[in-house]
Amino acid sequence: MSLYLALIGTRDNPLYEMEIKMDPIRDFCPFIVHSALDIIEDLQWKTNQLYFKNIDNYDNYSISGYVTPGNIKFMILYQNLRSDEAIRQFFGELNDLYVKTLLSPFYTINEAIRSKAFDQKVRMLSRKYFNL
Amino acid sequence: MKVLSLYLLNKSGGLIYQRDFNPESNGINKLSSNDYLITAGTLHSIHAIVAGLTPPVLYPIQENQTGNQNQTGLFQVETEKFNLFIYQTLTGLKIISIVQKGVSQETATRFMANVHSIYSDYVMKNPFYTLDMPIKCQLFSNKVLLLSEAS
Amino acid sequence: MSKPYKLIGEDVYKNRTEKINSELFTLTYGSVVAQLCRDYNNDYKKVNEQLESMGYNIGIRLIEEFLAKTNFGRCINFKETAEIISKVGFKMFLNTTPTVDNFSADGKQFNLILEDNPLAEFVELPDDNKAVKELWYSNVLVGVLKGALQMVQLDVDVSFVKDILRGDPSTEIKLRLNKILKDEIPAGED
Repeated sequence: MSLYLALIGTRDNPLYEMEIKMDPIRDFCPFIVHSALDIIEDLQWKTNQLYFKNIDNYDNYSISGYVTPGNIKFMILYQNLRSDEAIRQFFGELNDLYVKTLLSPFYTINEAIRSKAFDQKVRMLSRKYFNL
Repeated sequence: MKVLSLYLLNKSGGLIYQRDFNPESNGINKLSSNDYLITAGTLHSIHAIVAGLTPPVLYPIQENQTGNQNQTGLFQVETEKFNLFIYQTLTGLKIISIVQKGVSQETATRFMANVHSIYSDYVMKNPFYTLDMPIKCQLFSNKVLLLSEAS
Repeated sequence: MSKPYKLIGEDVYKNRTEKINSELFTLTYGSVVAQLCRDYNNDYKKVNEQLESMGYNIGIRLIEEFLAKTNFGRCINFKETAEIISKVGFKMFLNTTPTVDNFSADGKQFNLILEDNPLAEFVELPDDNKAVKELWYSNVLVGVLKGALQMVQLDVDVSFVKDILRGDPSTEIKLRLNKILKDEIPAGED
């Protein structure tokens, strides 16, 4: 089981990154996810869903994404995660966390998220849903 | 009850608001604006003199339910034609009302407590009003008029 | 002897105050503070001062509303003042009741501990290593208390001593009574 998560801003700029047990391909993660952005950008206008399952893969890693109504993209690159439903719920809660960050008066949209509290909570979420 | 006239004095005795209700028919003379200032200042002084004359009380007057803090100052002036009541808040704002004969002290006090409430809403919460300056707030005037008609 | 301030506070809050959406309020205050920080180039001492003076202007006005709605008379001592500030004042305007703590032996100083601070929900201070040391995010409260108390002739020093936002275990405001402005107490009050 392994997971790489990236939050991507509206100008395709990275806002936040986290990885757990991605050692073999750690350095490529950003590139792999970045290349999947085109796919999700094609898909996002064809449906009113926010969650995009398995849009791409690399070796035996899969990529899923979630697009917030404000066009911020949550991308994950993963291997052997528990279930599809867990991923969906993970994205839902992650969105709540992101909204709370957005509500902080000192945070502006598309700014890198440096908050330690946010990082901790995201890691808690991945423990909760994926046992990581 | 019939309110004939209303005065608001700031804590130093300056007149910040004066209004006669139904000036044509209410049987109270109109004065020049300068005279109103003098009236206000005089009442303020007499109020303080009366308070100074009153010896300290051992047992404070029983608590009232209106927020009127005027306990030992000039409280009421009676004349042939009208009564005048003075109400004072903890911040030193004086509300003076001149009412028809026969209006009870409780009724007048309640009226003035309501004026205080309107003052706190429409004067103090007006961001462009400067403390202790004459009140030129139209909303306040309208509300006071409504209140005087309703009382 | 002690009056049921808790009940009075709840009654006033429930029946006699206008209410707004708390998130609108929090976000409005947040954008004011953030804008001040930008305007003063993150000179947080200036921001603190500015927040306090804004609060002062609110306090000297708000006290009138407080008196009109509660009909309170003058407090017998500073302990009573503390009770009223916490159980009625904060309850009425912010729907929270801070704990009064650490009353000094001379009865002139106490701390208000805010278990929950509606101004600071969602807030994370800027991570420039300066804000957590210098900025008192909710400093407007200091000004409000100072202004309001001054209008009822109490000269009080008010300051924040702790803030959860800075990583402290609680949010605390210290109030110290300097003097009662006896000369300014309006005549006629018994």
